[in-house]
Amino acid sequence: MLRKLCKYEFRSISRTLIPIYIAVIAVSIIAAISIAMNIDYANINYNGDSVQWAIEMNLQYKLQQMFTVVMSLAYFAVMVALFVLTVVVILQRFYKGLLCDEGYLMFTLPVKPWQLITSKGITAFVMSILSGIVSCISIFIMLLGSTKYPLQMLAEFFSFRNWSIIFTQLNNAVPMWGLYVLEFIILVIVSSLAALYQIYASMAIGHLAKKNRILMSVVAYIAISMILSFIGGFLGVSGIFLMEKVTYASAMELGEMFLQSLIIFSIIASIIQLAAFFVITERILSKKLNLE
Amino acid sequence: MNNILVSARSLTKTYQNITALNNINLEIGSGKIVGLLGPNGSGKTTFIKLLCGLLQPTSGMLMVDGKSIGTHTKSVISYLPDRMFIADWFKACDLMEFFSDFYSDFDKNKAMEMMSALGIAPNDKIKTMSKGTKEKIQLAMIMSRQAKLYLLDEPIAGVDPAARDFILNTILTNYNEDGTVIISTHLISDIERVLDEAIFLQNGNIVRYDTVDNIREQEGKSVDQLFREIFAYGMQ
Repeated sequence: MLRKLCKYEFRSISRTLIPIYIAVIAVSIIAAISIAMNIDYANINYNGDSVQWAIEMNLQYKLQQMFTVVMSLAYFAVMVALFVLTVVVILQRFYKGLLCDEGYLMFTLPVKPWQLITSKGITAFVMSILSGIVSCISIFIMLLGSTKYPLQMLAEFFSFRNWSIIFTQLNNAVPMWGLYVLEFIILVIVSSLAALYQIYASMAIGHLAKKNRILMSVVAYIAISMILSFIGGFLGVSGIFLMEKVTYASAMELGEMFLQSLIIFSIIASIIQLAAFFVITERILSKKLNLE
Repeated sequence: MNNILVSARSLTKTYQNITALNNINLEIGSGKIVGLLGPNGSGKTTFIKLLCGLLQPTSGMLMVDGKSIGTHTKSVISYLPDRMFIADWFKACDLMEFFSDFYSDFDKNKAMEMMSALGIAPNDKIKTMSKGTKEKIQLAMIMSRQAKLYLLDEPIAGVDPAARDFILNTILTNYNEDGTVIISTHLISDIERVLDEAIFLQNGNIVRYDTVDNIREQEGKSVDQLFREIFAYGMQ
């Protein structure tokens, strides 16, 4: 059942996001090409002032400059749109999909509320990763457009030798890098899921109010954030005191220990938050659901 | 067909300080068409929402098909809310796929027939349909299930008489005859002819629950007349 829920959730969410992905990639390709062509003109600078002047007075040159500026602005606009739309669609899929009229359909399906909440979380998470990947690709395209030799850059990027050099150096400098990367990836995943479910829990809490439910959701979100930063600050300060007591280790070991314990502590804290937000959301939607 | 499908024991639902349902006790059997009758605010929608699990009772017990409200009861209940519950980006064919994915008792062929009778093509978008068509398509989906219990919340409110006839005919020709249909409404004269039983709700209390034949025999009047009397008295 969870798979079926995800199927429809992906359909609904990708309906809005896939077009903006295509727009981002298309605009970045056009912008990159126009930047690359401007660079070609700039290369002629060496030929002397008169040639430079002739080029700059050229209408075609001016138009092309203008086109590049417009495309760069358009690129900036679609990137902002990508970010904003991803956030808005994720919020909307939960609010409109469960707490408004569509909730009448979803909550009478023969599924458990936790399955509904999980399907929302999975799709939102996957789509934010996709948005991230799309923006990385578009930045890479823009980089290709701005370098003198894009093909060479591409070849270097995909060359096995370069990567093996990087990894050898990394192995020598930080033997534990694999562990750090793994820990970091886990931390990013659990902390972004925790952030996502904080939004869901806030909307569920806002739903408890009789009216002004959106406003109450915002209030709940801010309140939870304040409580979390208070607890975080408190634990941080006590952590520093704890560190001071450890005197037997060398500075190097201490640094590594500090980093390790910080990452592991953050992972545990995120998991606890995620679990708490999930349970809050599930309990409210199971027991206190009251669609208007 | 006298086994009990719905049973409520001292079922109470309160919102903050308003009592929507007050200590309801009733049993509804299978294979019947039951009218849930009462003026606005009498607790009709609350009772239906409790049955389909959109609300949780404040106290008391509610069972459908021998189970308390949960995944099983949701799989045997076909519920038509008093509003649009379909995402508007759905196409008619998406809707059919959705229902057959989640409800094993959904009869896709029946739904296709009803759609074509309504003049809806599989690729038509819900968004482009008129309000009346949207309501009809929802009803068609709900009635294409072989459910044990159909819950229809105000299906004929706010539609013209022709549409009213269409809706009643769709219900009558398509419901699973071993199942029960509960129709909530305050427009009694229109549906009186199809009802087997009537539940009169007033301020969250059941004031009368009887078969339509009994009401006619004992009172010597139609359900509509009885309704007017009961609730006229209640108003004063």
